[in-house]
Amino acid sequence: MNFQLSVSLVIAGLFAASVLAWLLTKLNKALGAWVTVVASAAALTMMALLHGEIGSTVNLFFLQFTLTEYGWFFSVIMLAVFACVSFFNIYWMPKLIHPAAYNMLYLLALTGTLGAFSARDFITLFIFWELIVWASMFIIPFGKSRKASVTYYAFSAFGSLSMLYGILFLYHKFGSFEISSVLQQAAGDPTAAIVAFVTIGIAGLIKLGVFPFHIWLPQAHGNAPEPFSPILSGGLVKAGGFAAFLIVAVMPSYKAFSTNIEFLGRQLTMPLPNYALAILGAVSIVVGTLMAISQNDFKKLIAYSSVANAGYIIIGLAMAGGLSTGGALMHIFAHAIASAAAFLAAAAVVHRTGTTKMNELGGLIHRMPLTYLVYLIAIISMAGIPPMAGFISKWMLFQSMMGRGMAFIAAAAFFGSIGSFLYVFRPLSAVFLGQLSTKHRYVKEAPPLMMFPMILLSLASVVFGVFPNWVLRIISQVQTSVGLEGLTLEGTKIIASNGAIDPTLIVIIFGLGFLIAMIIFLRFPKSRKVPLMDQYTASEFIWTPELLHYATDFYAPFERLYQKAPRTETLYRTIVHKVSELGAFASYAFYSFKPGTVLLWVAIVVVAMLGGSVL
Amino acid sequence: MNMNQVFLGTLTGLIILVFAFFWQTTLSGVTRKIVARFHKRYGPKFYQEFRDIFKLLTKTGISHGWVYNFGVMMALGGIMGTAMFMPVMQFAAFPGLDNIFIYVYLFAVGMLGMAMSAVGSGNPLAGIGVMRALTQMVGYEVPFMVVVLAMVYGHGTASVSELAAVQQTAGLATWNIVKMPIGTLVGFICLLGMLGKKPFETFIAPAEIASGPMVEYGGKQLGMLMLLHEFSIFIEVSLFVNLFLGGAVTVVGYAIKYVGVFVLASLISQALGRFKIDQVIKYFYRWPIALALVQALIVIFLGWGV
Amino acid sequence: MALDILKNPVLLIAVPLLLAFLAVFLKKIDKALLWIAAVANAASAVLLAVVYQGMTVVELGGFKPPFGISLVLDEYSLIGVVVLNVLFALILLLSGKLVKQYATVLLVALAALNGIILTGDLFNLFVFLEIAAIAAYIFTAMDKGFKHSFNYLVVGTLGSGLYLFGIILLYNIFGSLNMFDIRAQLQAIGGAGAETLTLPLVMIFTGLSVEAKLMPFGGWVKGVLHKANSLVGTMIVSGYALAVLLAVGRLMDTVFQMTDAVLIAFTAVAVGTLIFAEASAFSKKNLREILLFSSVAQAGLVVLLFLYGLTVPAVLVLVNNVVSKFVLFTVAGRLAHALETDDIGELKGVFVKVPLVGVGFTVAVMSLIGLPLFFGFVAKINALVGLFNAGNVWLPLIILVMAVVEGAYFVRILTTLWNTGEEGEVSSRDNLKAFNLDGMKGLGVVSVGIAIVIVALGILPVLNIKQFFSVDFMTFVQQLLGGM
Repeated sequence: MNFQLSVSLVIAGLFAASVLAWLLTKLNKALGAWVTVVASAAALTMMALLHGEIGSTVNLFFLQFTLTEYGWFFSVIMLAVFACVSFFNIYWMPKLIHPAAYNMLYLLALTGTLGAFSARDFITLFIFWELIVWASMFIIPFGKSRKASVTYYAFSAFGSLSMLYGILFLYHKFGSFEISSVLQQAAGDPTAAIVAFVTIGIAGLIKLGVFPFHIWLPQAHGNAPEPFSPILSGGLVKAGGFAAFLIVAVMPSYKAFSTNIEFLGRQLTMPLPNYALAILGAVSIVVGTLMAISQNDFKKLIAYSSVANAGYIIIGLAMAGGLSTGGALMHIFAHAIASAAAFLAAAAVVHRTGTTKMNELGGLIHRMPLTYLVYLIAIISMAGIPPMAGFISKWMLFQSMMGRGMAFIAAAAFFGSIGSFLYVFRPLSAVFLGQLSTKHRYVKEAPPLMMFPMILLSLASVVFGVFPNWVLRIISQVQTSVGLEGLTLEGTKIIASNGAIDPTLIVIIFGLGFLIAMIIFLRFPKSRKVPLMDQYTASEFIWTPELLHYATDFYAPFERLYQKAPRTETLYRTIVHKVSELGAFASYAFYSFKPGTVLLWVAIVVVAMLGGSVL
Repeated sequence: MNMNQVFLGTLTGLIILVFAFFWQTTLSGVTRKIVARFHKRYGPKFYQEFRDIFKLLTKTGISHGWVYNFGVMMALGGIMGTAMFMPVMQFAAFPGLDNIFIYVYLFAVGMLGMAMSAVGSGNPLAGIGVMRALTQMVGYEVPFMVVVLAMVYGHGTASVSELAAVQQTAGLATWNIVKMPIGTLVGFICLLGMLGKKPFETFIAPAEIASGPMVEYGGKQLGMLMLLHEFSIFIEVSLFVNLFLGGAVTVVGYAIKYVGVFVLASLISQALGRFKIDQVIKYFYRWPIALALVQALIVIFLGWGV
Repeated sequence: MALDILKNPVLLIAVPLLLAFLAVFLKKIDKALLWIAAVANAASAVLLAVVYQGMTVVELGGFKPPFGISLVLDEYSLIGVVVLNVLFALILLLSGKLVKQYATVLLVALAALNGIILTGDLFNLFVFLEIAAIAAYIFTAMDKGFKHSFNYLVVGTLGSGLYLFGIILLYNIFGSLNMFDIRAQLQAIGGAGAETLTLPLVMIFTGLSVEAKLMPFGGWVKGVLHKANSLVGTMIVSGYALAVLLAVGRLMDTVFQMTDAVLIAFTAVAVGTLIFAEASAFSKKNLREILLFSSVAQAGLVVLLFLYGLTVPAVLVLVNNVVSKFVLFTVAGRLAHALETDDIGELKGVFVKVPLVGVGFTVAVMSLIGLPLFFGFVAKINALVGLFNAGNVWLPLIILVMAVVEGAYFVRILTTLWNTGEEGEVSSRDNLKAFNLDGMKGLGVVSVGIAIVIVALGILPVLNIKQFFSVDFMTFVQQLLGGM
C-alpha cells in the first residue's frame, strides 16, 4: 500500500486511531483523550492539503472514495468542529462512564462522516452513514437520557433505511451504485427521480432535524454528554445537509422535475418537490424558534435553534439558485462554527458549575468573562447580526427569497430571524448577566485548554464575518462544480441581482461608530463603580437576594400565546404507543398459554389459505 | 471599492451623523412643545433636549461593571454606524451598498448592546424591560419586512438609496404611499412600534417597571442612551420617508415629510393608552401581518404598485 | 480408507443416535457421551466442509432413491450442518452445567436435527421432525415448564399431523417420496396442475410453520421460551430454528409449485409474522420475551425470502440470525439465572460489570439489526437486492420499516444495559447497582470470539466486491471454509 496522501489514507488512519484511542484510554484516560485531539487535528490538516486531489478516485479494499468540491467543503467544516471540540474530551474523561468506548466512538463517528462525504458509490455512502449513526448512538446515553438515544436511532434508522430503499431501487433500475452517474440518470427518469428525491430527501431531512422529523434533535443534543453535543449539532447534522445537497444540486432536482407550473398567473420559480422542501423548512423555522423561546435548559435551547437553522439551510438549498445555495452553504459553515462555540461555552459552564438549568445560574460574566465573550460572539452569529459570519448567510438567503417573491416563506424566515434575538438573548441574560448566585461566587474561568478551541471558533466567526469572501470564493467553486451558477464577488463586496453589501465596509463603519462612542464615553467624567446588589428597588428592602434575578419563565407573556398549541412529540408518542399496543395485542391473541387458542388460529388460517379452492 | 470611495463615503457619513444629531434633537424639542399644546400646556424650550443630553453627559454617574459600560458603547456605536448609512435627500454615504438588511441588523447590534448593558446592571426590572422590547420586536419587524419584500421584489433592488431614487423619477405618482397604500399603512403602524411610542411603549412602561432597561442608568451612560434614542428615531423615520414617501430632493420637501411623519406619530401616541406585551403581539399578528401579506401578494401576483 | 468412512455424512446422525442408546444403559456417563457426540459431530462437519467436492447423495441401505431414503449433502446442507454442529458444541460449552439428566434427550435431538438438514426424503423428514419435536417436548420441561411443554406438545403434534397429511397427498399425486424426484417430475410437467398441489402445500406449510414458529401457528413459543434457561432457549432458537427453516427452504426449493393465490397466502403469513412479531417484541420489557419474538420475526423473514426463491440470501439471514441469537439467548439466560430477573429496567448497567459479555452481546445485536461492518449487513443487502431483482418493490419497504422497529427495541436494550441512572440522570459508575455476576468469564471469551468472527465476515466479503454481489456466494463461502 503506498502512502501517498489520499482520502483512503486519512480514513484508514482514523480507523486505526480509534482503536489506538480505545487501547490507550484503558491505560491512561487523559492520554486516550489526547489521541482524539491529535487524530482529528491531523485529519483536518491532511484534508486541507487534499484540496488539490479533488476529482481523483482512491480505493480502500472494496470501498471507493472520490473527493468532490462539495465533499471537501463539508469534510473540512466537520473536521474543524471535531478538532476544536476534541480538546474538551480531556476534561470529560473522569465524568464519563465508558471513557475508552467514548474516545473510540468519537473517532469512529468522524471516520463515518469523512467516508460518507467522500464516497464514490452509494454502498460506501450508506456504510459510513450508518457508521455515524451507530457510533453516536452509543455515546448519547452516556449523558442524561437513555430514551434520547433510542429516539435518535429510530429516526436515524428511518432516514438511512429510507435512503437504502432508494439506493437499491436505483440500482435495480440503472445497474450501478456510483453516485453522480446514477443521480444524473435518475434526473432523466420521472419515477426514479421521485423515488430518489423522496427517499434520500427524507434521510437528509431527518438528519438535519427539519420539521416534522425534528423531535429527536433537542432530546439527543440536549441530553448528550457535554463535549458531544457540539459534535452532534455543529457537525453531524450537516450530514443531512449533504444528503439534501445531493438531491437538490447534484441530481439536480430542477432538471428532474418540471418548473413549468403556473400558479395564479405566475410561473413557479422552483419545481414542486423543492417547494415542499422549502415549506417544511419554513415550518421548521417557526417551530424551532417558538420551542427554543420556551426552553429553560441551556442546551435544549441551542438544540431547538439548530432545528430553526436547519430550516434556513433547507430553504436555501431548495431554492437552488446561485445566491441561495451559496447562502445555504455559508449558513452551514457559519452555523456549524457558532453552534459548536455555543455548546462549548455551555460545556465550560457545566464543567465549572455542574448545571445547565438557566434559572439556577446567573451573573457568571463576573467569574467567566472569556466564556461570556465566546458565547456572545456565537449568538451574534446565530442571530445573523453583523459583523459575524451568520449575517452574511442570512443576508444571502433573504435576498434570494425577496428576489423570488416567496412572501409566506420569507415571513416565516423573518419571524425566525427576529425570534432568534429572543432565544439567544435568554441564556446570555439568565446565565451570564444579572445577579451572581452565592453558590457560584468562587467559580473559576474555564481552563486554558478549553479556552483555546473556543477562542479559535470565535475568531473564525469574526474573521469570516469581516472577510466572508475568503469562504465565499470556495463556496462559489463548489456551486460551479455541480453546474449551478456561482457567486458574484468583487473585492470585498457580494453582489446579487437585487442588492449588494460590503461586509468589510459595514465593519469599518461600525468600528468607526464604536470609536466615536468610546471617545464620547472616555471624554466625560468617570463613573463610580457600585456593587451589583446596589439596585433601584423602589425603596423595597431585598429580603431574598437570591431571587433578585429575572431568569425563570423569561418569555412568559409570549409563551402563553402558544402554550396550548399541539406538539409534534405527541404525534410520535402516539405512534409508538400504537405499535406497542399492536404488539401487546398480538402477544395476547396469538401467543396464549392455552393450546386451544393456537389450534383455533391454525384452523382459521388454514381455512383462509385454502380460500374455498379445495373445499 | 477603492480607498478614495471609502474615505469620501465615510466623510459623507460623518456629516450625515452630525446633521442627524442636530436635526433630530431639535425636532424632538419642537415636538415636545407641540405635544404640550396638545395637552393644553406650554412645554419646555425647543432646545431642552440638548440641555438634557449635555447635563447627563457631564454628570458623574455610577457603573455596574465593564459590560454595563461596554454595552452602551456598543449600542451607540451600532446605531451611529447605521445612521451613517442613511441617505438624506440625495446625499448618501455609500449609495447602492446600503442594503435594507444592514439597517435592520446593524440596528439589532445596537439593541443587543443596550440589552446586554441593561441586564448587566443586575436589576431584574431591566431584564423584564428587555424581554418586552425583544418580544415587541418580533411583533413589528415581521410585517414591516414583508412589506419591504414586496417593495424589493417590485423594484428589483434592496438598497434604500436606490429605492428612494426610483420614487423621485416622476413626482407624487411614483411614491410608494400612492402605489402601495396598504403597505404604507402597515409600515406606519410598524413605525409606531419601532419608535416605542404608545400604544407600544410597553418596554419602557415608566411607572410599571421603572422605565425597564433604563432603570439603572444615570450620568454619561444615560446621556449616551439619549443620544442613541435620537439617532434611532432619525433612522426609523428616515427609513419610512425614504421607503414610502420617496425621499426628497429639496431641503423643504425633506423637512415637511420628516416633520410630518414624526409629529403625526407623536400625536397619535398621545391619544392612546399602553398595550400589555401579549396584546402587542396579538395586535401585530392580526391585521398588520395580514395586510402586509395581502400587499405582497398584490405586488407579486397582480403586478400592481411597481 | 478410514478417511472415506469419516467422510460419510451418515455419521452425523448415526454417532449421536448410537451414543444416545448407549447412554440409556450407561446412565453414569451420559453427559460424557453427550460431549463426545457433540465434539465428534462438530469435527466431522468441519472435515466434510474441508473435503467437499460437490453434491453427494448417500443412499441408506444401498436402496436407490426414490425407493430408498437418501441423504443429500450439497452446499446448502453443508452450511447447515457445519453451523448446527459447531453451535451445538458451543451451546454445550457454555450451558453444559444445565444438562442434568437430559443428556440422552439432547443426543437424540442432535441426531434428529442433523437428519432434518441432510435428508432428501419427505417421510424421513417427518420422522426426524417428530423425533426432534419429542426431544424438544421433553427438554423444554426443564425448570418445571410443564404446562408450556404440554402446550407445545399438543400444537406440535397437530403440526406434524398436518405435515403428514400433506405428504400423503403428495405421494398420492406423484408416487414418490423423494424431494428431488418430485422436483424432476414437476419440472417435466412445467408448472401445469399447480392447483392440485394447493391442499398438500398448505398442509405442509402449516405443519412446518408450527415448528418454525410462524405466526399464528407458533403460539407455543412464548410459553416455552419466556422463562427458558440458556440451554433450552438456545437449543430452540438456534438449533431447532436453523434445522427447521433449512428444511422449509429445501421443500420450497424442490416441492413447492405455487399458484399466485397460494403464494400470496403464504406471503401474507410470512409478512404478518414479521410485522406482528416485531411489534410484540417492541412492546415487551423482558429480555427473553423480546428475543423470542425477534426470532419469530426473523423466521418470518427467512420464510419470505425462501418463498421468492432467494435461497442464498435466506441462508445468509438465517445463519446470521441463529449465530446472533445463540449469543444473545445464552447471555440472557445466564443473566436471568444469576440475577433472578430479566426485566431490562432491573438490568441497568449490567454490562459495566461484565464488559466482555457486553461486547459480544452488542456485536451480536448489531449484526442482527444489520448494521454495516457486521455480517448481518451482508445478509441484509443480499436479501434486499434479491427482492428488488425479483421485481418486488413493496416487500423491501415493509422489511425496512420493520427493521426500524427492530432497531429501536434492540437499541433500547443496549443503551439500558450499558448505562446506569434514571431518565434525566447522567450515566455514571457511581449509581451502579451491585450485581452478583461471577463465572461469566467463559461466556465472555466465547461471545467475544464469535463477535470477532461476525466482524471478520462482515468485512471480508466486503474486501472483494465481485464476490459480494455475485450469484455464487456458496462457492465463495466454501472456499473460505476450505481455506481454514
